[in-house]
Amino acid sequence: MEDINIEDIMQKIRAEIKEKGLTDSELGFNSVVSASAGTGIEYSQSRYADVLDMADSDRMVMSYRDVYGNPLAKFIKKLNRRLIAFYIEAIVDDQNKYNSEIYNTLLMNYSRFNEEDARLSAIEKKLYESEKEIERLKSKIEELSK
Amino acid sequence: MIIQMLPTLSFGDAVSNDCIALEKVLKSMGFKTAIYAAHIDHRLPKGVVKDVKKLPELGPDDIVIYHMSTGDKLNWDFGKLNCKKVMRYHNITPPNMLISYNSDAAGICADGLRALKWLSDKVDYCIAVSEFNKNDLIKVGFKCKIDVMPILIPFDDYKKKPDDITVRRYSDGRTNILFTGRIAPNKCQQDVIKAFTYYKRYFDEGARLFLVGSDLGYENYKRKLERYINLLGVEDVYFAGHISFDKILAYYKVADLFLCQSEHEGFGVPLVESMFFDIPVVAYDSTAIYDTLGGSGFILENKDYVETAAVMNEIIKDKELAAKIVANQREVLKKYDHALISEQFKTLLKENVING
Repeated sequence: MEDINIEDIMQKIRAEIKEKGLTDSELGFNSVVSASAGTGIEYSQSRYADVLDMADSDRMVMSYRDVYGNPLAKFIKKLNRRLIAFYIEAIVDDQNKYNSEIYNTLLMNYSRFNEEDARLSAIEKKLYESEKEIERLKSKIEELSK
Repeated sequence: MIIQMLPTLSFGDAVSNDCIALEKVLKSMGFKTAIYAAHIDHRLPKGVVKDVKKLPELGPDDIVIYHMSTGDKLNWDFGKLNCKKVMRYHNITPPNMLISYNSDAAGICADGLRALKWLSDKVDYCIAVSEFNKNDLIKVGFKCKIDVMPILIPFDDYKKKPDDITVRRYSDGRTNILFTGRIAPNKCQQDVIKAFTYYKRYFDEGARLFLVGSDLGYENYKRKLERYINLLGVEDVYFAGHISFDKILAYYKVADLFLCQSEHEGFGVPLVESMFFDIPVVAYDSTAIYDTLGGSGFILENKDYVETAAVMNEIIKDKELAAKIVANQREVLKKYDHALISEQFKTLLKENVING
């Protein structure tokens, strides 16, 4: 194995960091507020979008299905369906109307989530930047008052 | 008959891939064998695995190789089998690392650790995937013989064609930093992100970070990572998600450095994958990571993010240093040779289970 003196390299790096004044001034991960763990289905933006796509393809219910069987069975099935078509189609129409309304509501929710997420991200970032600036100014004031 | 059993046979995870690879070896030895699992990923080709409910009656001369890596009822069922019992131990994530993000998963792991302790006097022989895992078994009270055999990795698969589009998109002269692994708290992607932030800010403003892996079960952890990225103001951090194999290959192809800050690995297949693709590895020294790297890579003893960023810069800038690291990694990679591990597996079985 090639000889790599990690300790030497680290010493050189530490000296470089000190010389350039490079600091770890960013907040820690534990400072990021998040909801506590729970059971149930966690929100995932990509999966929400996937489910919306699937819902879109499934939301129209058809009142008619293909008929299978021998000619006599097919004839009887078709006759039965024609006799109750007026009843079934009305129910299916109502269901499709409801499905569309719910789907559109889900789409609006999705847009709203995305808007709110973007807005909150921007606010959180501004707040964090402001806090950093406050700390910087505090340090400067302390320096000047010495 | 020698069969393999495990709670879940997934698509693309290290434990499952090891199980499938070992099955090929068992078949080459002429054994009647099969894989039985309680939960089967629907993406797996039919016939690869059987439902454990269809497990045949086993006798004292039959052998079950059980892959243990999590909590499951099957752990307890395994201990009650009337046959020779061999455990292949992949390690169980400590529950305290997961509880803040997925209390169910934490509970499952806690149950897994309880089952592990219960199994300590019921297993005839263990094959741990790392020295670290072997030590864990000893601490828990296993008295049977424990050998160490790395995960069997089918390197031929890595010679397949990577996704062209991904390779072309990211082969533009900018530095690409990679970490591959499930988006999960024990992998500590937040530390990779923070170190990358300083690397980008202080050394290489054009750099990119790719985090490749599924967030399944840890969506809230991923959301917290995304918020962290936003707060840090760092750009060019990409979550690739759970992607196809050819895309994974593409990310390895374009990577300039692999950065690992994981605090729990039973083995760390992505470390070996990085070695295969000649990507210098910078890794925090925890659990099995040092063992897997075999002294190669660049091991960090603590998590100082600025120092880590500076180390990354040193390796990327200093081609001679990078070449030395890669040379050492190639040397260590030899011990993961597929034929070598397959022979080791055959020898271990013959010496400890079949004739034992």
